[in-house]
Amino acid sequence: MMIFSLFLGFFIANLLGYGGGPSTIPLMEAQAVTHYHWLTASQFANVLAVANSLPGPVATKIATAIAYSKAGPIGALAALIGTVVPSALMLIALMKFLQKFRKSAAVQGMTKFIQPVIAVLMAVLTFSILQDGARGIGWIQSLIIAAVALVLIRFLKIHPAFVIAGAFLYGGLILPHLGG
Amino acid sequence: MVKNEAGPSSGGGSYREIITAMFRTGLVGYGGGPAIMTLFRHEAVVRYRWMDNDEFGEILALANTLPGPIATKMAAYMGYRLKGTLGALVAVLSHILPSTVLVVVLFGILYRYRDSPVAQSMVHAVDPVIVVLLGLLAYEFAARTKQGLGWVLAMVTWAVAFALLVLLKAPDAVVVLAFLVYGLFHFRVVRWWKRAARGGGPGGPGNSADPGPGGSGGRGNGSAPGDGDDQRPNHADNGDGGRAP
Repeated sequence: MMIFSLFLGFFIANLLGYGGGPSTIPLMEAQAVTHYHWLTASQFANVLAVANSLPGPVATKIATAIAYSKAGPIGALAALIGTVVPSALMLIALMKFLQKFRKSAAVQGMTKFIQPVIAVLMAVLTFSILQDGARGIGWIQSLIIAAVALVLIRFLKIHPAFVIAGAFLYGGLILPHLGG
Repeated sequence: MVKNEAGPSSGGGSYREIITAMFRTGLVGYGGGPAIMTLFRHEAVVRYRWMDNDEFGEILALANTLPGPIATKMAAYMGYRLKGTLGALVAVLSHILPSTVLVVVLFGILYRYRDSPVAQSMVHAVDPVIVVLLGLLAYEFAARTKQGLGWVLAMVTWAVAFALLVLLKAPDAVVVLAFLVYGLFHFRVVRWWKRAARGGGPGGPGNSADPGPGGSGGRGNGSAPGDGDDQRPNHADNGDGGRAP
């Protein structure tokens, strides 16, 4: 039952996510946290942290991390199949068909109108993780880390993996001593 | 068992090439599928010459019309094109296995120490970084909305999506589906509205009544985004055009 839910949850999230792996992040969160309660919002943030610190496609990493912790290798396999196989099969099977419809108004309309929903879902998820972090280490520390991370990632173009590693170290080595 | 199926063209590309290329892109590429596509292109077009640049671009564009992660779709298709079903399987596995194994190991370590205060503090210190990364993604999708739909429609769709998802707490899947269904009909609605605006004013109520069913079908299904989109023209329109016949 659990195995099937894992398959179904990730299947649905990825079926709805237009625009590649990152656009499915909030949809996977909705399935895993809101719908199935496989993990809490705060645990989901941890999964994202781990997934973002590693290379490779993001959707498969998230699916694996969640499903493996719930139901071991078989669970991970079920979630990966739900994530990868349907869209891959569709692309192979529908190649000829898609060629005809790629420029059609219907496809254009769908790809354009999914963007605002993903933008809002992503913003909501962003805010909920900000709140979660603030609950753990306080608003001041959270906002300082966020500001530093923004400067490093956006303006100095430091690789996110290094910034995540840096935050891990800061949280492990320095933060516990600041509180007293 | 099945080495080569009839479908795909077998112009070059050994299993070793597939495995090397996909393993490498799976280990080197950061930032999720869309960011990895330039690396895919490099392997497929420049390094191994499985296909030319135009064909790669074409496949990528087609892959983008389908939902789901882009990297695995592309890996599967290229593997299939080179070596059939087994090729697709090999390509996808080579691409996702390294990061899959790593994520299990790393998450396992984190999970083991999850109750220690130091690990707690570490985990929460990373939250703001994730906030920044997700915030930048949200910004990117917002920018793409604006680019695709223009300012007015972008604001309207954000407002409608926000109202549905946050204020009314509608399920994500339902809202996504509603927007997709509306998107399916959007250009028909626009065409209808333009024609109605052109012909409806001075001359023809019959003109705007004609494509009515198509338009209202679109609005009925994706009512939320639709309402915002053509509210103003519709009010004017339904007033004199829609009801006349």
